[in-house]
Amino acid sequence: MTLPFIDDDDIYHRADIFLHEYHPSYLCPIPIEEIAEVKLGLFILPVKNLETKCEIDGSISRDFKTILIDEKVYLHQDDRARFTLAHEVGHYILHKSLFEKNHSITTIEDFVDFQNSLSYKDWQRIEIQAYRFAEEILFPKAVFRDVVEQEVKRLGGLDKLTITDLSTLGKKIKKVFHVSNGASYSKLRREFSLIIEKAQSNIPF
Amino acid sequence: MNQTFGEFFRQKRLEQKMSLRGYCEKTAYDVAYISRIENSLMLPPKDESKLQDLAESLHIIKNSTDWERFFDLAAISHKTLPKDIDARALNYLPAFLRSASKKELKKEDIEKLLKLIKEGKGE
Repeated sequence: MTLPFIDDDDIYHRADIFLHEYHPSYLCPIPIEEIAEVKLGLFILPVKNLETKCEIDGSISRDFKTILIDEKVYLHQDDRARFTLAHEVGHYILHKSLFEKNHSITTIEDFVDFQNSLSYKDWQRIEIQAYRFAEEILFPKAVFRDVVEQEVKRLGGLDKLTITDLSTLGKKIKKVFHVSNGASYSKLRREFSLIIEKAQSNIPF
Repeated sequence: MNQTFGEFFRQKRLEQKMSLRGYCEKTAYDVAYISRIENSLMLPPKDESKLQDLAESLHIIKNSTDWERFFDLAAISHKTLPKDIDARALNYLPAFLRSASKKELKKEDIEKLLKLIKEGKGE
C-alpha cells in the first residue's frame, strides 16, 4: 500500500469541502454523529472495553461502513466521543480508497499479515492525517478564529492575558465546540501559539 | 437491494431523528444490544411481544406496511443470520490497527477483538 503525502493545507481544504457539503451552516458544535450516521450512512458499533483491552478508543471497520467506539467513551464521555467519531470520519474521507485495493483479506491470518506489513511510521502518518482532519472539521477555521479573538478581547487583550485567562479561554473553546480540554488546548497551541506564549509570560499583577 | 432487519431498524430510528445514543437513552434499551441488531451481529428477539415493543419504540404504526416489513425481516434474519455472523464479524475488524504500546499484532489479539465485537461484552 502506497501512502500519499497529504500536507496540513490539503487536509484543511478537504475538511472545508466536507463541511461545505455536509454542514454548510458551519454552526458549532458540529453535529458529527448526525453527519456520520445520516449523511455518510455509517453505522456505529459501541464495543465494551475496547480501550482497556485493545488500547484503542475507536476505529473504522475495514469495509469503511462502521465506526467502532469504546462503549464507555460513547455513552459517558461526549467530548471525547465526538473527537473519536470525527477522527474515524477522517479515515473514511482520506483513506478509504487506499484500503479498497486490499480485498484479499478473508481470514484472521490475512488480516494480521496486512496490518503488520504497514510500517509503524506509515501507521503514524495515517493517524496524524485523520487527527488533523478531525480538528479541522470540529473547529472550523473562521469560527475558531472569531471565538478566540473575541474572548481574548473580552479578557482585556493579548498584552494583558495571564495564565488564568488561558484557562477561561480553554473553557470557552470547550463550550462552543464541545470538545475535550486536551483537544481545545492542542488546537489553540497550533493556531494561536502566540496567545499561549504571551499568557505564560505575562505576570498577573 | 435486500435490506437486512438491522438496516431497516436503523433506517426507522434515523427517520425519527434519534441518534443511537439518544434512542437508547429514551427507550432504556442497551446500546450494545441495539447496535448489534442494527449491524446484524445479533438476532432480533423471537418473542412476538418483545419484537412488538421494539417496533413501537420506533413509532412504527401497527399493521402498516412498515410494521409487516419489520416482522418479515425479523423472521428472515432468523433463517439466514446464524451462519453469517462469524463471516460478517471479520468485516468489522479495524482498517488500521495498532496501539501505542504494541508494535506487532498477533492472531490472539484479533481473536480477542472479534469476541468483543460479536458479543458486545467486556468480560
